[in-house]
Amino acid sequence: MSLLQYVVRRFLLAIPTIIGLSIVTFVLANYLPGDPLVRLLGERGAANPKIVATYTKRWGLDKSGPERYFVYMRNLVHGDLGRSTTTQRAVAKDLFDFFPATIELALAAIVVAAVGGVAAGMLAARFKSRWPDAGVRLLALLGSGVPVFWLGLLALEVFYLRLHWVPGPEGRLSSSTHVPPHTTGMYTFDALVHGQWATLWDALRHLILPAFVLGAYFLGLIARMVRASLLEIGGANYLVAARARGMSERRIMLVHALPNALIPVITVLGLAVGGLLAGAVLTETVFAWPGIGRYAVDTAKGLDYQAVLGVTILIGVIYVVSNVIVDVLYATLDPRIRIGR
Amino acid sequence: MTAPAPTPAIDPPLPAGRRPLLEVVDLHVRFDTAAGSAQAVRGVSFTVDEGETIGIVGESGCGKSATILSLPRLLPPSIATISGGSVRFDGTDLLHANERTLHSVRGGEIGVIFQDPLSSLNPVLRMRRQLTEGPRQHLGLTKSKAAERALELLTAVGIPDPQRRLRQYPSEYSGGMRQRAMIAMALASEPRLLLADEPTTALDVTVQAQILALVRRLRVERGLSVVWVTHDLGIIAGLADRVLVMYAGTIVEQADVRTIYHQPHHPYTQALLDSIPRVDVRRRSALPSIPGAPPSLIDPPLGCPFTARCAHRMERCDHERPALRVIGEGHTSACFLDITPKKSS
Amino acid sequence: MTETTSTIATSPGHSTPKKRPRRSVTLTMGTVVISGWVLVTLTVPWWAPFDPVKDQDLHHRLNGPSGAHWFGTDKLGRDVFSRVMYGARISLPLAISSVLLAVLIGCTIGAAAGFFGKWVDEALMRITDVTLSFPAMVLALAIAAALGPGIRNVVIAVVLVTWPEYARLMRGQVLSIKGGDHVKAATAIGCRPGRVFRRHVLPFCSAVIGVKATTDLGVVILLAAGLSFIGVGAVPPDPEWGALVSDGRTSIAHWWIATFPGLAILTVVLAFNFIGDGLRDRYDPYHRRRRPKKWR
Repeated sequence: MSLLQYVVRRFLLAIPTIIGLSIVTFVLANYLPGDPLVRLLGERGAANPKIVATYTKRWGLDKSGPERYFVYMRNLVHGDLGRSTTTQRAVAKDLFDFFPATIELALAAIVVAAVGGVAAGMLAARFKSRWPDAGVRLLALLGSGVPVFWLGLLALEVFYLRLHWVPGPEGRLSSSTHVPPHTTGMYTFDALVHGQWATLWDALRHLILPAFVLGAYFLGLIARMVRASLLEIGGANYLVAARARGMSERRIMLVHALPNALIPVITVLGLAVGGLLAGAVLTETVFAWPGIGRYAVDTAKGLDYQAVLGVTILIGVIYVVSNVIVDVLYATLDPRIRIGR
Repeated sequence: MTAPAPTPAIDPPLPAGRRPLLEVVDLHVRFDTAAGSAQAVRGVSFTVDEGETIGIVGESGCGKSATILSLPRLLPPSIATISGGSVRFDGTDLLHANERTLHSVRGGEIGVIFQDPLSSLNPVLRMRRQLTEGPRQHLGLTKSKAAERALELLTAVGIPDPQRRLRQYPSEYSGGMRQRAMIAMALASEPRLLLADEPTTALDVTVQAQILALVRRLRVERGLSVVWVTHDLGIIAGLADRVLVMYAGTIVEQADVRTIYHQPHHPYTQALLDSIPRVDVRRRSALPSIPGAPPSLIDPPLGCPFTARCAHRMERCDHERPALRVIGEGHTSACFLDITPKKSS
Repeated sequence: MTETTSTIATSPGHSTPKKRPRRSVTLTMGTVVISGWVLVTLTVPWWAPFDPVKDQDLHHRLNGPSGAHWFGTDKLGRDVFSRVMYGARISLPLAISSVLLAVLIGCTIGAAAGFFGKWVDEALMRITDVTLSFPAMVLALAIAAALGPGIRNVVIAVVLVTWPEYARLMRGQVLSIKGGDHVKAATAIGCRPGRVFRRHVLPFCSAVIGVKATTDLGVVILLAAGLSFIGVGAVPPDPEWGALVSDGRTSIAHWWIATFPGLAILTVVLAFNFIGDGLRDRYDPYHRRRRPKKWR
């Protein structure tokens, strides 16, 4: 089986999961206690018979369960995720606007977690049982139990209030900075592309702390994994063989040991996508970061149901797709996995 | 396993006054394990001349692998310590050499072939990468020159379709091919000495014979010195000029290959030879094996280490360790028995 | 006899004898911390210096830690120490009841799927596939938002997102044990399925499930605190830890308001992790052998 065939097959296998996902959100929207109409329209809307009639027709609320599901699916496929009672806009449009901020934050957090985690893991393995190792392991341990929203507040307390290194929880840019022209919606990237260096700097200053807070847990996890696999690989015969070829310790670490140690980390990165999106809900709240996480929280508090489900579906789909991508990556990176054989 | 008939006459007779390429004097290696500190190598001395092939024979755990791997200091420092002696390679003291010297000697002057080719090849790097990194460092070749050289080397060790093979990962090679590739790798930077740590143990007999023929050919072509470690006397017979027999971390007998096979002196050598199946002698009884097990190296015995299993044991063997002594031309043995070697049956 | 090359292959860090004592130290630490919090939960009304909700003192709002108020006071002048201690009465029972419910539901369904197989199994696997493909936090947020705020709804949301993991684990256990000789023997001598399950299958699953449940107690506390933090969990004056941290959000300059409840969460979660790890080392022989192999 070629790689392409494998990729296609893996994506096809994800389809039932995505369908299941839509059933779950459908059930949540329609069968939880409470009047779905009130949830869809809010108290005021539900009192207006005209609006109720339009919505009943559009979402097939007068039909039987299965039929309603098909109506729901048809709307979903057409990108109609309903209307938010909070913003009075189409949920799909809201998501489109808020999503780039979350992507930017999650990507930055992944970079922080991967680079920091690998570096810390290498450091710990290199100085096994000495103080750098103990330090890294202690931090990783704390990272496994620390509530991300609390970490965010502490970080603000220290780096914003005390040290003034970063701006406060005011979102993605200072109020005096103009939003860069829209290319991707990720301000750092857009500013870079358009050569607006001041904007880039401001965006980075706002991004760095939330990215660290969000990435902290996975940074610790990756550090622990890299440390463990480097130590496991440490005595491998192929490293002795590379040494016998006269390779320096540095080269042996970077070229021969690290790629082997990183393979298990790929799996973690797959988990990280889901974990980061979930963590974004909390982190964005702490830092007033206008992404889909904060959108979900704001709308959830207003019992704005269509909006919350829209976020749920979006995150679910991303999660499923990212798992597929990780599987494919894994297969390409580890030559020992013979695809389909 | 059928032993190839002893045909040591591949090389021309030794030219007079060859200088030793490698000089090992009184080497001691200690392994620190959970069970205690084991004296894996206890005072081993030998020399390797240019163009000479030395065979080191002994059973598992006798310290033969530890001996050769400690020469370029490849034993992991966390468990193995070279606790004494000296190793001089072409005038350089390897045990006190700095990292720089060591890196240029390893691979550049001394090539190593390992026992298990699969685990000795990096599974996630393509063979090209692993074959070219040596020559690029030691011979200063460019990437493309090194790739050309890798191609030549794979051809030289008899790997068909080398162009395609270079792009592959070790897991795509067969066992014999991996060992050929290991040899190619060890020879990639034109070393003068090849250390081989039981390189054919994991291979089946036909492949083993091919690998041996390959090494014999390369040795003649390139004037290599070789130290070949094995537990198989049959392999040594067809390959080595001189043989060291090791037991419990010490050399018990040393002689040229003919003498070892035809006039072994040490009872251990005799026992080893007796346990080789032979096609030229009709045997009705079961193949004899050596009773007992080697002594613990954590607390080595005071006297001769072989005494507990020896058929010629004497009173003094228990408390006095016999030193290596000359018993013939180029023939030394660590046994108290009479000078006149007993003919093995 | 060890051959030298194989000695090289085993890295010295893996010599096992050292490992055990260190593990049991963390197990003990975890147990001590949790016991402490359980004690707090049971006895706090008798010794807490203030009432967590009613004792408002508007003259002493936002005061830093002092002799009278060890953890300071919040913006209504309530004693943060008392509120954190009382918070244990919410977080611990919430976590324990959620996990117990999830274990009960998950294991029942998982065992049924593993025992009966066929379509029951198929259906279960599809459901768990879907639930596990959502990040728990997001799904819980959706459910909690649909149900409205309140501790009881948090429990429901948490149970709904966690039971599938137990179902899956239980199913796997049952499947692997079902094929065992002792089960075949019990069936052969005429034991009824119920008895076979109770006496010959269940005891073998309990270790694995127990270990996961212990670790999950920490996970659930984090999840519930997160929900309360964003305002879909505990309802205001309730001193739930996540809600307490959230109080500190509006006034980060008054660090004590968020710091102490956060530390409470951290200690409990770490303690449950320690106990979970310790129990796994002791009771789950499969996991010990399942240590990451060189290649996977």
